[in-house]
Amino acid sequence: MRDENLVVVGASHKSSTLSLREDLARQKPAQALELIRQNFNGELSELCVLATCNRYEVYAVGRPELGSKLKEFLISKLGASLQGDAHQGIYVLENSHAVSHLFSVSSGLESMVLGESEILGQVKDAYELALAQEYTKSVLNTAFQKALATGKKVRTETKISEGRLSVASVAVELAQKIFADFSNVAVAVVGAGAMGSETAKGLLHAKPKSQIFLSRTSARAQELANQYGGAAASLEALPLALESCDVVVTQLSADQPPLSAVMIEQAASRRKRPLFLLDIAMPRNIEEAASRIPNVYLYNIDDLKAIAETNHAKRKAEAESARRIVQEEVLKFLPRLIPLRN
Amino acid sequence: MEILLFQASFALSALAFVFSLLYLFRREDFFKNSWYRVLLASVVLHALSFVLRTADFWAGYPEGRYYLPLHSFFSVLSYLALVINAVCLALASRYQISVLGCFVLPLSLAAQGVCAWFLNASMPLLAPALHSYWMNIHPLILMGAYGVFVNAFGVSLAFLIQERQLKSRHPKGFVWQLPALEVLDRVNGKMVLLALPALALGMALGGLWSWDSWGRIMKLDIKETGAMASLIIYGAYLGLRWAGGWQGRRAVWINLAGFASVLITFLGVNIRLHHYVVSLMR
Repeated sequence: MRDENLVVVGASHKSSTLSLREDLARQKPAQALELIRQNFNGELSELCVLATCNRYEVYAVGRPELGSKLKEFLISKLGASLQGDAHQGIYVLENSHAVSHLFSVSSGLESMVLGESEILGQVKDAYELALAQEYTKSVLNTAFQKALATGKKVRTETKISEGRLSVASVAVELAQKIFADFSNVAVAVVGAGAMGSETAKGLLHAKPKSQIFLSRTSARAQELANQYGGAAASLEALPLALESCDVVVTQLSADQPPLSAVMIEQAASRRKRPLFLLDIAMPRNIEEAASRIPNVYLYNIDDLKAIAETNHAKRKAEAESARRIVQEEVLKFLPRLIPLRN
Repeated sequence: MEILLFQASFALSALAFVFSLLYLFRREDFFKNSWYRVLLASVVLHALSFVLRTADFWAGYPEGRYYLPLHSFFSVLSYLALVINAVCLALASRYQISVLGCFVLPLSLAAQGVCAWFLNASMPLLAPALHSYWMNIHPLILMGAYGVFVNAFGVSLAFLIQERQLKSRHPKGFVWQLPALEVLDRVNGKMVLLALPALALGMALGGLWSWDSWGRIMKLDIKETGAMASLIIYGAYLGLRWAGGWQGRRAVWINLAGFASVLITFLGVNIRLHHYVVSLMR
């Protein structure tokens, strides 16, 4: 009685423009599920919608021609304002290709940031929404459960999710390797330009215990403090900040005198905790000799970039093993698809 | 049977060490969980072996009944390995120092290996002076303290590696496996804070025992002098941390000096100069 296909129809950061995905994303998954069901009554038996920042995908089980019809539907109903050949960014994958794609997605192999873990939660959320509203049955239930298990397996058995890829997250991770608890760390942002960098924003985003902004003028520092929260001070308070803050990010303009190793040594000698210095300025703000002071850890922007690049290279190397696991899991899963075609 | 259990425990400790190394290099949770579980099994078997050894000693030597058989080098070293492993397991799981086994287990394995391959496991009779309830207190407390110091040594090694990595500005894979410097530093402080009073108490009780038996508190042989030196070094470590604000690498070096003193005290002079302990080489 059954002659059905498992299909995925959608667009991702790899296949489409941002405007196409924006168009599609206007329909929230719950609305899209309802809309598709209304329009495909009797033509499909199972349905799930995965919507993230980088992809919008409809997984469905139904008649063989379902894939092309769903594509037309996405273009006409969901992406009404599409122009030109933008719709070419929408792909249709069927059966084993659809399963392989879903498993790759949940494993982070299709993500913009290779191996990122957030996608696993997003796949789970999409599946649970469809499940709760009874849009899924045996095929999508098994496919999504297996996809989630494969995503976990890939992350356990390979190092594809290890190592931060952005300079900001590398800085936060380094801080977490120095201090026991980042929520008990005081951060000082020195120089108004620092807040233009991802590094300083990333550190503040990680929710330190306190933050203080130091700038050439108290007024400018106060502006930043008002914007991001925290205290403000002029550069005259720098020695005190070095003594009382645990992480210091500097991006002073070139006309400012650099932070001398002597000044940092004096501050470090009065501290009981380590001091993590992030010099993200060009030219650098902190004398190189500061890196030799006990309990002081000095990193510049090139150091952070080098770590991020190494991590990225490692993830790429791990992708091969991850793809192998995905392939194995797809092969194990395929026999469950056969009943669809009988 | 007790020897069989001891050997099984030794084999499991070695396996736990292999798993801990695999975890360090492969970073897979499977290896972390494996070394925890295997070490737990090793500790249980080892403890059981110690209980059986005590039962055998009491059964074969009624005059020594109620005294723990900690008067031979085999027994002392074996008990020390048991404490080291138990503390390592507790520390690793309590403070999430999942690589601690790599630094600590080689030492407990060395202790177990010396017992298994070089020492005679038979239990000699107790010297008359050892027919004392102190027999159940003094060595037990001191070996407990030493076991904790060995773990503090392992934590110190981890700290030095982590610190060196972070200082280099080009940290490699290990840096992400090891805990934060502050965690290692604090755990180190806590270990010494726990073991130092035990060392002082063990020495004081040894003095009382000596007074009861020979009418003098100490004869200041090399072992007792070494223990005193360890007490002073670890005392200085804690004092400098609290009063002097010494943290990080400087404090760790004092900790390592304390451990060197403990090692010399325990190994260097244990057999010949602290003559209450009987050494039976194979």
